[in-house]
Amino acid sequence: MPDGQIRIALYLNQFFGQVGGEESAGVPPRILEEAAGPGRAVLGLLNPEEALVCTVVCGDNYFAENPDQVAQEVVELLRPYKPDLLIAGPAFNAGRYGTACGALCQTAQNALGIACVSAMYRENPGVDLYRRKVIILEAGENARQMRDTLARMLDAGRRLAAGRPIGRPRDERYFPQGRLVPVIEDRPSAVRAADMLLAKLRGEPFHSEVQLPVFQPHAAPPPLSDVRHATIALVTDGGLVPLGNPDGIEGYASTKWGAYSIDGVDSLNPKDYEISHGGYDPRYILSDPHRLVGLDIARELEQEGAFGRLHPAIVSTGGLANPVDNSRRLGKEMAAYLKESGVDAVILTST
Amino acid sequence: MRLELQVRRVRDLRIGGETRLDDGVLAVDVDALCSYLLEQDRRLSGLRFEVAHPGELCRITSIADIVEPRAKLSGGVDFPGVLGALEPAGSGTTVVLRGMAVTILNPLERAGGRGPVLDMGGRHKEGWSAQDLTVFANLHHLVTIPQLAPGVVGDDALNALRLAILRAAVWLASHTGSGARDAVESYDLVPVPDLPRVAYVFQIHSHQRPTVAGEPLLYGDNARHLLPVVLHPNEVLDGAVLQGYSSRGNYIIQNHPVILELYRRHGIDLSFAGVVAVVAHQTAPERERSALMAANLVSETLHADGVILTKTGGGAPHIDMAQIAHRCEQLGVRSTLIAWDLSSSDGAEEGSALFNYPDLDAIVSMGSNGYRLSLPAVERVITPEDDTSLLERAGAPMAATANQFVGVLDQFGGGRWATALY
Repeated sequence: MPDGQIRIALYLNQFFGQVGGEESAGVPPRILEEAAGPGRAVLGLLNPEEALVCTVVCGDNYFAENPDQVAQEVVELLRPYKPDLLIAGPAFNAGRYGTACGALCQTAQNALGIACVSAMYRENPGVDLYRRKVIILEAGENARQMRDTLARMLDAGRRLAAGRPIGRPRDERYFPQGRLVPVIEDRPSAVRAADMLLAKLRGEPFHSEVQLPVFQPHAAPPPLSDVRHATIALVTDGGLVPLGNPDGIEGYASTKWGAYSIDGVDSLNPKDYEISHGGYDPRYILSDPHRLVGLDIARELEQEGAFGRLHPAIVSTGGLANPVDNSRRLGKEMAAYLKESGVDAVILTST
Repeated sequence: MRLELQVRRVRDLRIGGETRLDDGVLAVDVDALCSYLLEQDRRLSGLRFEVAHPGELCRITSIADIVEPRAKLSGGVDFPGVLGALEPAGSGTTVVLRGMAVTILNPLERAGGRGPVLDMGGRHKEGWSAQDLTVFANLHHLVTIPQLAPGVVGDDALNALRLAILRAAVWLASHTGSGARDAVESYDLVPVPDLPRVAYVFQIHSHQRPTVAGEPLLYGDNARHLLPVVLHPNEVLDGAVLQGYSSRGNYIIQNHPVILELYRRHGIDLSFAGVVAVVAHQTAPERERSALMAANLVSETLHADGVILTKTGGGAPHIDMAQIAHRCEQLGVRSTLIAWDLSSSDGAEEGSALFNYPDLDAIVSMGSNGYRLSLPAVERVITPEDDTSLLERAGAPMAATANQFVGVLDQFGGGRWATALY
C-alpha cells in the first residue's frame, strides 16, 4: 500500500457483521478482510487515498462479559493491520454494542495511539460510560441513517487522524467530553443572551452555555447522643490564619487548610491573626476574630460543662470561588484529621 | 423619557496645547485639567497624565476606574446626586467623546507595581489579542495618576478618586462639546405592541463588600439596603447608576451592553419592558425578599414575558441572580442569565455553577474566573508605582487568573470571552 494512505479499521457486532443474531452473541472476535454489512457502505464513502484494511466482528455477549480484556484482545487482532483510524459502530441504541464500541475505542486510543470514532443514540449506556474519553457522535435510534452516520464518522475520523482540531460538540454533533475550554465568541454575551431568551420564548431549540452541576446528596449524620461528653472542634472557611499565614493558605480558591493551636487559649487576640480570603470585607473580623470563630463563648460553655471538651486547634481555610472537586478534597482531608483527633462534632462558621 | 447622545469620535489622543477635538484628534491641556481637579478636591495633592492607545504594547496597572467622557448639554445634570444636584437622569442631550476613556489609577494600590491590569496590546498564547479580551483595549486612554494629600486613605481616598474621574470625564466632554457631531443616537422606549416584552434585572452591586457612607451608586445613594426598584434604561445610561469603589469600569454602565442590545432590538424582535435594579445581599432573608420583590416587578409591573439577568462582584451574587430568575420562571417569565463558570482547575464541567434550579436552563457564559491568562511582556508600563525595580517587573510577562485583568470578565454582557463545553 503506497505511502500517504489512510488505513481504516471497522468494528461491528455479530449482527451488523452478518455472523448472526442473538444466538451468535457469544462468538469471540474475528477478523474479516472483506467488507461486510456497513463496511460496504464505508467503501462507497472513502476518498481515493483511504482504504478499509480490515473489519473486526465480535459477539455482544462475548464482549460485554469481560469488556476490558476483550478490548485488549481486539486491539491485538487490529495491530498487524496498522490502522490509522478505527470506526466503531455505529451502535445506535444497542446497549451492549455501544459499550463494546466505547471500551474498544478507549483501549485502542491508548494502546495503538490511533484516532477512534464511535456513534450512538443518546440513551445508549455506552455514551455515559465513554463520552469523556472517546469521540462518540450522536446517532439515531436505529440503522435508518446508517450511511449518513458513517459519513459523519469518517469526516470526524479523518480530521482526528490528521491531528486537526475537531469543533464544538454542538456543531459537530458529538457528546460533550465534559471539558470547559475558554474561547472567544463572535458576538458579545449580551447579544447571545437576547438570542437565547427569544428562542426560549418562541419554543425554539437553544443551548445553555453553562451546565448546571449535579451534586451528590449527603445524608445528615445522626445527632450526638451525648453532647456533655463530646469533643467539639471549631472549623471555619472564613480564612482566619495566624499572623504571617504560616501554611500559605491562598485567599482565592484555596488549595490548603490549616489546624492552629488554641491549647490553653481562652480568646483570640486580634493582633495574632489575619484573614486570607478575598471575598468579603474582613475589617470587622480583624478587629474581633470571635465574630468568625467563637472561641470565647465556646470556652465559657466548656467551663460550664455544656459539652465535653474543645478540640485544641481551630481548623481553617479560605472558602472562596473554589471548584467543587477541590472543596471536596479539602473537606475530606479535614474530616479525616478531625476523626483521627477524636472529634465528635464541629461548629462550622462561614462568611 | 428621551435621551439624545451627540457623539464625537476620538481617533487619537494627545497631551498638550489647548483642549480641542479636531478631525478626531483630541488634544488635552492637562495643566488646565489638573488645576481644575485640584481646585475641586483638596484630598488630591497632585496629578500627572499619560496616554495609552489601542494595540500599543502598554500595560496600565492599579486601575481604579475607567469612564467615558460625557457632558450634559441640556435637560439634566451630570451624575445627579454625585457631582450635580438631584435631578432626574435620562432625558435631554448629552455629548459623548466616543473611542476614548479617562482612566484613573489608585496610588494606594501598588501591589508590587501591578494591581488590576489592562494590557492594550500583545497576543496571548491562545492566539487571542488584547482586543479580543476586553473592550477597554479598543479605547484611547487618558490615564490620570493622582497623588493623595497626606492622611487621605481608605474609603476617603476611593471617594476622591471616584469624584476626580467623573469630574475629569465631564470636563473633557464639556470643553470639546461644541464641534461637529459624527453621529446622533436617540433612546426612547416608544411602545411597540405584539412583540415579546423583555425586562432586564440589573444587579448594580454586591454587598459582599458593603458600600460605605458616601459611596455613590444610585443617584448618589450607597444602595446599602436597596430593595428592587424599576428604572428607565435611560437613567442607567445617563449617570444615575455607578458601580462601587471595588469595580473598575463605569464605562460599561454608560455603555451598558445588555441595555444597548435590548434597545437595538426594541421594535424589531422584542419590546424592551424596562430595568429592575437590585443588589446582591449578605443574608438569606434579604436575598429572599429581594428575589420575590424583583420577580414581582418583572412580572406584575413590567408585564414581561422574558427577562435577562446579570450579576456583579464575585461568586455569591450568582445565588441572588438565580433566586430572582427562579421566581420569575415560577411566575411564567422565561429567563436567561449571564454567569461565569467556576469550573475546576482542570476544566472539568462539574461544579461550574453555584446553583442548580432545573428551570434555569438558559445560561450564557462570560468565561471562567479561575482561568489563568498569560500575558506577554510589554514595552511600557503606566503605573502609580515609582520604584523603578518594581517597574521592570511590572512590564514582564505575567500570568494570573482572569479576574486580575480589568474588563476580561465583563459582567454586563460586553465581553466575547466565554467557556465552551467540549
